[in-house]
Amino acid sequence: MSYVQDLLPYIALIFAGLQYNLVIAVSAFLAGMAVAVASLAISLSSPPAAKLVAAVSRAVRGVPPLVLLAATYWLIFPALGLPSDALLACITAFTLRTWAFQLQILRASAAAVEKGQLEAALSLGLGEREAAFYVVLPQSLRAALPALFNELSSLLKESTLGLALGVLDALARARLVSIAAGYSLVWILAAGLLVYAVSWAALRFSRLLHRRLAVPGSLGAGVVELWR
Amino acid sequence: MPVDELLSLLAEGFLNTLALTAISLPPAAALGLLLGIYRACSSGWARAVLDAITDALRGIPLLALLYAFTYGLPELGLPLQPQAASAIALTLCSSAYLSEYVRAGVLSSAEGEILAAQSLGASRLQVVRYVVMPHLLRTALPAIANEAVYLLQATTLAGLVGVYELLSAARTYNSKYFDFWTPAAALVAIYAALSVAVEKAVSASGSLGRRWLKLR
Amino acid sequence: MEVVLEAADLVKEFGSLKVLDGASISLRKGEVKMLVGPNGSGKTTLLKCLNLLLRPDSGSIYLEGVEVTAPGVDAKLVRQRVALVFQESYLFSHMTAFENVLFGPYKVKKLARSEAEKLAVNALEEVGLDRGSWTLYPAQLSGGQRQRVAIARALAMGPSVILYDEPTSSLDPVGAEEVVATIVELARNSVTSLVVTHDVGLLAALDAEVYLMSKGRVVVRGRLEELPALAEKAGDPEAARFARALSLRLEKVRKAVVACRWTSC
Repeated sequence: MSYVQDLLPYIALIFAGLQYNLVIAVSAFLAGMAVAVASLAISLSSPPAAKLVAAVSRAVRGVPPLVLLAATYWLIFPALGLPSDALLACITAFTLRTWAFQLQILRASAAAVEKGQLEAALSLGLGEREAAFYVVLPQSLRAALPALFNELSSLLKESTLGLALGVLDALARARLVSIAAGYSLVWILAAGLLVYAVSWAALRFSRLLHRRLAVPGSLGAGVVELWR
Repeated sequence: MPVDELLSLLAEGFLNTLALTAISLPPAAALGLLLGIYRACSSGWARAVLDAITDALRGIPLLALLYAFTYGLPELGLPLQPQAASAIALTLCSSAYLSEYVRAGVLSSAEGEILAAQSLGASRLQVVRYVVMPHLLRTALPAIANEAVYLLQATTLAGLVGVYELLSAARTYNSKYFDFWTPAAALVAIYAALSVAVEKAVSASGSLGRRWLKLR
Repeated sequence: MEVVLEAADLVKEFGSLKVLDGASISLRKGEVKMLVGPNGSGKTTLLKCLNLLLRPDSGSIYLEGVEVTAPGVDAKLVRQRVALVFQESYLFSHMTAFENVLFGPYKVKKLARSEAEKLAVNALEEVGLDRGSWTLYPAQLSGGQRQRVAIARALAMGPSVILYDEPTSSLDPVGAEEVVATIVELARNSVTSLVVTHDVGLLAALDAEVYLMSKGRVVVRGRLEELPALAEKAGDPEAARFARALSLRLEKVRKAVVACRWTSC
């Protein structure tokens, strides 16, 4: 019994580290989404801008996340005169990365909306921009939900990379604890499973959200497969 | 700017990166295909167990897996070199993702035909051999190419557990000459080129495989 | 004539949804029967249970006197004798028409190649597919041709009974006509068949006894014109409404055919 009590401070330490994973993942996700929606809007109104956006996002997707992290912390921040804050650097780097991926997701789901929907809207006399806003956007956001939450899951897992810059997240603390108390495999896998549990909870929540936001009658049996 | 030193450091990192990718990809592809096909065509408790393991491997951060194999195993009496531990972790993680793509791909393209074959009374093995396999080459190849590129980028994580790959080389140069711009630029260029090369290599071996199958 | 296929009180649930709620049918050798009902009444589920693609939660199925729902029965052998033709034909996309039909006898039944080929040739001739199309791939065939190849694929197995799941629903009028002609010809040759359909053309052409399904059970059976009255008597107004709508459409088709003959169209 006292053995468990001895472990409690360690367990609390690791749990506390989880907040860093959450902060990094959620902030980057939301910021990235905002920039992605904005860049999509810009792309729609200006073809040369669209080309630039596409090229930059393609380049960013090709860079390993750790390299992006290192470049942000050791190159971009000093160049911009920003303080050497590891957490901020992480959030910035991951925002850039998730922006590139979310752009891809949103563009794919917008394309996946049946062409007939847009044609019907235009046939009613709606302008291109109105049609995009009132008809295509709501449908593509719903369609993109599974892929977007997949991206959030990805971000949660990649947030562990912060320990390379010294961020003491759940995994980093698990490693420290295991150096002090042994049983590395247990602590490390426990931290890993903790992050998994958070993604799993996010997945359940997003499934609920999808069901709530879905157009009545549109959910068939096949939709469940989308979530695996 | 000591270019030759930069080049030699990068060369060493480059070789290790390539080696790690090359060692992890084939077993990941094989395991992923097998798992994916099995999970697409079966049901029961064995499948449920495999599903759980695959979900866990996909859900646990890759870095945690790398840590577990590098630092966790030696305690159990299985001391592994960082390269070996990283290779195992990368293989397992990649195969879990691949099995998911293969499973979903098979189901989406061949579900009706699988049903038809089962209706004729074909056994599970026959269904896999005559209906699933032909569809596989269409879905598996892009998935493997994608995963190969991902694997290439994931080798940077191995640098955090002791493998001297490209990023480690860049950081070594930085710590010696306080210049991260040069190696970083080189890194981005190398990874971009490598991604294209890896993708081409996978498609090439895929077409070769397809031609070999047609000859039979 | 002995009973070839009999199902008694089949129950099948998917989670909380009871799709089959005590469904029973029976087919004698050489008989052709039709199965109709509103969407969601369980027709497709019933067919899939009959060839054991789905296992009913309770109830029994007898094939030629043998209970196939008993434990220890090899479902694969049952499926070789109970063929199922799907709405979407589901031909193997990487095999030619001939190879599709050859697959069953050659790879599943493991017959000698020459014997399997003979069966395939017979089956394809029976469905009336022109020889030139035998070496084409499914994507190169029309919908009607694909469905006929699917029927040939089933015939080549030499089954005791063929089940059809809405065989004409995904076809254009030309394709539907071809398939209707094929099924009618097979019925004339006493191939035991159970046809699920709401294609009025097929119903008119086959002119066989009809099972009416509603909410997971077979409510009544009889000729299509008798069904509305029978369903009302059985106390299922929704099924009666369905039967009325169906026989109304059948009337229109019959009248149109007669009118056509008078005006030679």
